[in-house]
Amino acid sequence: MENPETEERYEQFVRLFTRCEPSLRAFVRSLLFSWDDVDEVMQNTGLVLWRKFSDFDPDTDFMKWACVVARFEVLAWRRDKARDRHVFDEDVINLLAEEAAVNLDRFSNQRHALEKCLKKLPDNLRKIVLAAYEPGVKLNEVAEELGKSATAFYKMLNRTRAKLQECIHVETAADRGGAG
Amino acid sequence: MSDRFEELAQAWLNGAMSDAESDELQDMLRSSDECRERLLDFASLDAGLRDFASQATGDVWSDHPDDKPNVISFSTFGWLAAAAVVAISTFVFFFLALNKEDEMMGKGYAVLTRSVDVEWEGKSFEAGDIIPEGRIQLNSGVAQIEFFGGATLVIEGPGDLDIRSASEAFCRSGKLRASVPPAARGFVIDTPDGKVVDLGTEFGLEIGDKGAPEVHVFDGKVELHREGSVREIVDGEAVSGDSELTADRSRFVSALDLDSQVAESNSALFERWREFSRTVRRDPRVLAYFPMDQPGSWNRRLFNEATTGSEIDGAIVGANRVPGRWEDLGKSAVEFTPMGSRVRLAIPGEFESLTFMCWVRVDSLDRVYNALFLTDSYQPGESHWQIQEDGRVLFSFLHSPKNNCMSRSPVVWDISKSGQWMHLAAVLDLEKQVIRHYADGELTLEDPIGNRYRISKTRLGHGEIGNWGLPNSPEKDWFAIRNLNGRIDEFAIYADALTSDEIAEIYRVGNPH
Repeated sequence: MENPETEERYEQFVRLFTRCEPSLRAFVRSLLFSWDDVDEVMQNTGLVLWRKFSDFDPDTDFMKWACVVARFEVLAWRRDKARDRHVFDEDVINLLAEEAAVNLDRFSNQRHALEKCLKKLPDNLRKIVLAAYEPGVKLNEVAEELGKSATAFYKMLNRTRAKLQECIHVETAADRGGAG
Repeated sequence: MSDRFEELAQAWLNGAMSDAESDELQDMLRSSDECRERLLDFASLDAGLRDFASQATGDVWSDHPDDKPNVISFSTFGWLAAAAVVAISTFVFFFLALNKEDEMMGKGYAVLTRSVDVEWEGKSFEAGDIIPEGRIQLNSGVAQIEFFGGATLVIEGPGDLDIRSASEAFCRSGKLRASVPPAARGFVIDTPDGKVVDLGTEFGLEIGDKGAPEVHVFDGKVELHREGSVREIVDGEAVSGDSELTADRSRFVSALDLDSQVAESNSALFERWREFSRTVRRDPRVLAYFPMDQPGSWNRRLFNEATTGSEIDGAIVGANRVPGRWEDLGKSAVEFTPMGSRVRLAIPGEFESLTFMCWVRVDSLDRVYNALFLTDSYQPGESHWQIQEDGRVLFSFLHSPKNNCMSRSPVVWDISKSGQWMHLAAVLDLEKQVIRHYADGELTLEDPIGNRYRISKTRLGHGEIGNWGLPNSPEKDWFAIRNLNGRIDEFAIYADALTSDEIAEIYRVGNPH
């Protein structure tokens, strides 16, 4: 860093970005089909956010701003890759992004709830679900390692996710103003 | 919310979608804001799980959660610590709900309940085994098979039949007696030449040389479908081919006859075991021996019959005195099913080697660790012997506070063995520096002790059979739940490393079958 001012700005950016990164990642995940795609878009998004950081008004919500930038990054990425991968149509991406913007706190609230809900999961299921999410693993290989057929493994994974979803729903009922 | 949406969203998460499914999902997202909400929730869950999984890698969910001392002190991840210390009250409901979703599935149509002197041809069965669809053959002996549909067959060897369903069998050859209570009416025994349909009764059936059945009805009536016609046979009558006879009960072994045969066979086995048990009582290597053959179910003291005497008597806490391997002969066992159950022991001294052994009847492995014998707390030099929820036996000793030596046997138990007696033994041999595991008299694993775990002496001190308590730790107001859902019958600890031959012999003589 050439001067103290830039350094201070950089520190501020890192602080803001680090705090909202998990939620931003979840938001981007909702618009794409795979984690590989998400990682690619997140990298671009990070760079763009830093480059445009001077446009950011510190009195406004960083997460909200980041989501706007990320949405455009997803759309740009989509135009490049749409031919050879599964992607949502542009209108669906916009609809999802708008839905998300209504309540951006959902991602961090649900993340906290998930932490609680994982605790309540029986050990064996927790192991399985975390094994399936370990970065870089292939689900078929995890299934094989656990001695389960791929179908049985997917079923188990889907059921566990549905259970976690139910639990998160209960845990975050208060955040949603008791609706549901 | 439609199930279809959930299905598609899960496929989307798993990255396993066809073009058509992708279009379908998008149409739902376009038309329903509820669907969009749900998708965001799933994305949020997916991202959260990915985060926790990468934090947890190789640490919290590894197969060796116990690489640290068994005393639970987690610092890495708070959420895991709480999970491990299982706060019972709040968790129970979630547990049950989840387990219901992952219900175990079994296969089979009948259960073998008793057998005497059976020599099996092909697949063999023991009392308590589930019998799947398919062929069973006995060269000799008598076996009792109870169909899930309610009928009971007593089959005499030589016999050959196929189990077809919970209410149908095909008898190729042999002799059997069927008892069919009203609830099981309609039970069918097919034969190479005709079919017997039971209308609620007791009958005998023998397949003649040419495959034609000889049917004797003792009670109620049956229909014999043969050569395109149906013939009713009522009690007192018998039919062999085209000739009519009088029913002859004495020709077919009944369940009642089997009772006395079983009793006879049992008392011979029981006497043989008892004889052998006397030598164990006198064996100077034995530190503690609980044969559990004294009457007095009210007694809260478990008598140590080894030469070490009454100082080593066990104190039964919470556990039930129940029938053991030879229940009709007064052989008892201790059942650890109530959560607080245990048998407390205190065995002083230091030893160069130890052998633990017991007959155990596991009803289910409900806990992460299901106790056989554990010393209190877990201090350097002390051993723990338990069964993991995956059916492996875990034998471990603590080398030093952060250095836990653990040895896991191959899987020795699964749900198909529920309710059946099994012999387990573990040897800690510090002379050869190995841990040996045995199941039903056979060596299942010889595990060398790594250099970093070498110890020269081991201790027992205060400990317990069937659970793990920390009664000497007043600072802790919780305890791990490790009670064994099942029974232990005959338990021994030797201050020596028994040989494989010795253990095989102890199994053979103690085997109730």
